Amino acid sequence: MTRSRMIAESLVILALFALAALVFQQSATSLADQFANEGDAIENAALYPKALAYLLIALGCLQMLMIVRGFAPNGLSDKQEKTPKIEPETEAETEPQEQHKQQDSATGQKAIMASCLFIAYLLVLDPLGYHLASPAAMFAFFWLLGVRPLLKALVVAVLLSLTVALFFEVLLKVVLPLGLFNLALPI
Amino acid sequence: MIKKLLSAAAMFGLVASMSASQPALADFPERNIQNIFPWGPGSAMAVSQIIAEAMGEELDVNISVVSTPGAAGVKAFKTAMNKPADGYTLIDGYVAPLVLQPLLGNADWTHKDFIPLHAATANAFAIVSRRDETRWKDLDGLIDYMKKNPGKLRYSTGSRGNLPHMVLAKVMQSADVVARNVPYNKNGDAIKDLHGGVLDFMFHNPGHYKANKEKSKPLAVLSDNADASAIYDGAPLVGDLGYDIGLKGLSPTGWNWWLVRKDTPPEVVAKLRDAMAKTLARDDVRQKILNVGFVPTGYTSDQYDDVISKVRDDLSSAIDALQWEKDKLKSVR
Amino acid sequence: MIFETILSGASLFFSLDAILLTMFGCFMGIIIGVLPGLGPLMGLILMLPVAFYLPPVTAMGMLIAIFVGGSCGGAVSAILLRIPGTPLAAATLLDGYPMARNGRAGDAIGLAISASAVGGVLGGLVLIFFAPLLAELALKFAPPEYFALAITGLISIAVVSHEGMIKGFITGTLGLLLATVGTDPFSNAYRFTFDNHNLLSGFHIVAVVVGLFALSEMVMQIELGQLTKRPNVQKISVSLRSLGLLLRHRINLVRSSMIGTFFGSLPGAGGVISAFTAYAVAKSRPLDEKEIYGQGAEGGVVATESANNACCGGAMIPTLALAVPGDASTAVLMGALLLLGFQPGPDLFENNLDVAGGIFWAYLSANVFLFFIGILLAPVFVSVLRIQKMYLVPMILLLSVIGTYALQSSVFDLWVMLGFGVIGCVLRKLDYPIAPVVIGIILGPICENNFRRSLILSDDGAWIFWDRPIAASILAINVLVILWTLISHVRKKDAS
Repeated sequence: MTRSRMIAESLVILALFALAALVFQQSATSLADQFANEGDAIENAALYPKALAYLLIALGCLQMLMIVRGFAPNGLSDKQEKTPKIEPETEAETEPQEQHKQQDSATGQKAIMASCLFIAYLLVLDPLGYHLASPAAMFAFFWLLGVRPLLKALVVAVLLSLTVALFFEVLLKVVLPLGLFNLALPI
Repeated sequence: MIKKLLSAAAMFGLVASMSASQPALADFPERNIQNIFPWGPGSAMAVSQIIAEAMGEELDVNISVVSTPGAAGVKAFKTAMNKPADGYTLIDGYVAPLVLQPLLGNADWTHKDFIPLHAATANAFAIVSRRDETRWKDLDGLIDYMKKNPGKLRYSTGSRGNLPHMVLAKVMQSADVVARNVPYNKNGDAIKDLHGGVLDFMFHNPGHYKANKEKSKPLAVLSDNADASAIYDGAPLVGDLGYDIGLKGLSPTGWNWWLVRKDTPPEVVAKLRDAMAKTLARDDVRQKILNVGFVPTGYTSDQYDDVISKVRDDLSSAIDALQWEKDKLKSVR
Repeated sequence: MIFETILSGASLFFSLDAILLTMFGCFMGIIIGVLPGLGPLMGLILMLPVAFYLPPVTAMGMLIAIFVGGSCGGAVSAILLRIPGTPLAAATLLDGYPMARNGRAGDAIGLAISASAVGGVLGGLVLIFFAPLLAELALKFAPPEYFALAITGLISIAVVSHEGMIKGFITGTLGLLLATVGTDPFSNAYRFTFDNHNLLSGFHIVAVVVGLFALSEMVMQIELGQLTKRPNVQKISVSLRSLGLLLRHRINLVRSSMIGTFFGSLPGAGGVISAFTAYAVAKSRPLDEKEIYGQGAEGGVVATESANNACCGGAMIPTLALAVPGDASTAVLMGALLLLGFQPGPDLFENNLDVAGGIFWAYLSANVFLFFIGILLAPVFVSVLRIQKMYLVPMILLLSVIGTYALQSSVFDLWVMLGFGVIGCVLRKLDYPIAPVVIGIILGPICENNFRRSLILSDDGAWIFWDRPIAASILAINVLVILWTLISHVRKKDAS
């Protein structure tokens, strides 16, 4: 297991511990205020979540133990062990690996940008409405992911958004986000 | 250049906001309308869909019923109240979120925060037990049994703390008996457990009764309206049996009133009311509603304040029955 | 009596309108099932108003076909894109997607469709011949039994956690915990809602599934690169080959269909549990040593798809026989039946035998149409794989967003979807299985609520689980299965 992987795995376990802590905190505050943190199993709404939080902590500790002791990342797995990484012997062999690393980081960056774009789309969907936000977002995605020429990207974005709108708004009669301008397909 | 762009954007924004804030009232409705419905799919939703479909025909648009269950209707109301007051969002105002939840302290609105269209349906509940029950034959027998076995019997009203729970608790309070309320997410599951022998009695609405006549016997109808007795095949009214539940008229029943937000333009409200009135007057719509077992009421928008205020006053005095039941159960167990 | 029912129903169903609309319903159902988000329940709700104006059996035929088609359609996107179109298909991707990766997408889809159709027919036959018997059995299943079955379902987490059991239980527990968000039905307390009214009914399961699977998959696909490359996927032609493949797995097929029908007949149990349970059982009994579950075993697809479609037939048992809906979709079907003027329950069989018979025919025909329409559409579905990723990824994202939005017209559901998308990405990067999250979210409320319900019903606390023979037997079997699973894993670890 690489060091960064170990850190990542540990962070996840810590996040789970934080979640368990949140459960206890909410039980002691919000649920207690609603008188739902007392009584027997029937009335006590906090009992079951707290039991699960304890279970999560126990499982997290177990998994942390496996990470720290350097077990395979898959713990009690019934899969075959992965083939160990073979160190390159010559410089010629390191070059494709470098390219591979660069490509990984390029696509990794693209994935991050796509995620940001997606969040932006969700943020503007309600205020702008489906018929403005979606073609714009689709166009941006197509541009990001490499659709060229840009005119093609624009046309496909508009057609895709319209087709989806036809199916949902006209056929299924779902009201899509209207936005400030109250845009919807004519019914 | 930048100044030009900024001023163009400002003009654009101004025009957009003007057009957004003043929908073309004369052309209402121009697009599909939504009814925010506080329960999950089932017969109640089907009834709202009947009304929505027919009303949509009157208005020449589609009205879709959006199921938004959660916290006994509070989620649906809060969702609807976050939508613009332009008449394109209708609120399916069931008594639970409209009157009961504010009384229980779970919501901060009153019925005056909404503009009524028309009342849709109202259903009286009944206490039922199994037809092949041997331990009692009528409500008096059930009450006697509960007196001899305090806290032993198990019943369900679907959710806890809802209107049927309050009404049944009032009945038991008036007879000074207590039983264990078992909550179920779906009424159908409770009905299954009643017929399976796990529950001892429960509530039914007319829809439940219609579907389960063979196995469910109504012991008493929880209403003071003689018409309600006919729905349950002549079962006696609870008041006639000597049990005073302190709730009259619409108060012990489950009902819904279609609403819009308070600031909805009057012209829009008028169009919606007109369409709904025509819908509820249609024979085919009334028949479809009756098929499901629900009963269309005739209340119009001008009766809203009186009717709801009365219900509110009645229910506020009935809430203590829930706490009474809790305390009584603790003392016998 | 049964033959009377079937015969009298035939005249109502076998009309051009009813047949055409059943086929249309099937087609719509498949498309709705394929699209991430929507699902058969939404399809039913949205198409219900159309049914108002149709004759009863025609209307029920169309709606039932949407139900059946939608229950199968989710498998297509699960197999091709690793995105279950509906939560029902979350188990299908475990082996369906690896099959597609191994170049057998056509076979996987064909198997999914055939298994769904045959499983559905088997469920329908049980419905027709044994409805009263199963309905009586359903009456014996009370909260203690449901709790015991929920534990059985949770055990399947161990089986579907190909990445590792501890990690599987971690994500399963996470799912159980996330399911506690919302309103507690016993105390009416708001749990972990942080004063946000959108959380009063918890996280919408469809938003969770779309986020966990669809969003995370799209991010992974972008990271894998080759966005502009036209994938080299062989065209497939329409063929009945999958029927031949299916017959090799006939024992699995029949067994999984029976599991699906059984779970369907228990109101509230549901298709997802039946799919995972059938998968777990099938995994423990592979056809031969070459069939490795988790790496493209045909039996995995057969088990899950036959179970989740047989569940449709099963769910109609309590709906028609007891007037108690088997699940949310059958609740809508029951509402439709009531609207059309017919009472589900014994009344239907006494006074409207022809309508009952018509419904049986509609259900069986819907599954037959599912097979033919599905097989015809399979090449079209597989050709989706030939779309370049730079087009496909945004398309899937748009459909995911709108499909999820359509559930409750809620932007909040989209944020839930995003949140679970992030969780899905993190879990997948670190080799945590995500299917157990779905199992946990669905089984959590069944487990907790029925446990607490049992305690209220009981006169002597937790002894109720011992006093009731069915619950006690199921729990005892669960304990044995857990012990056996643990022992065999420890043995395997020692051996390696």
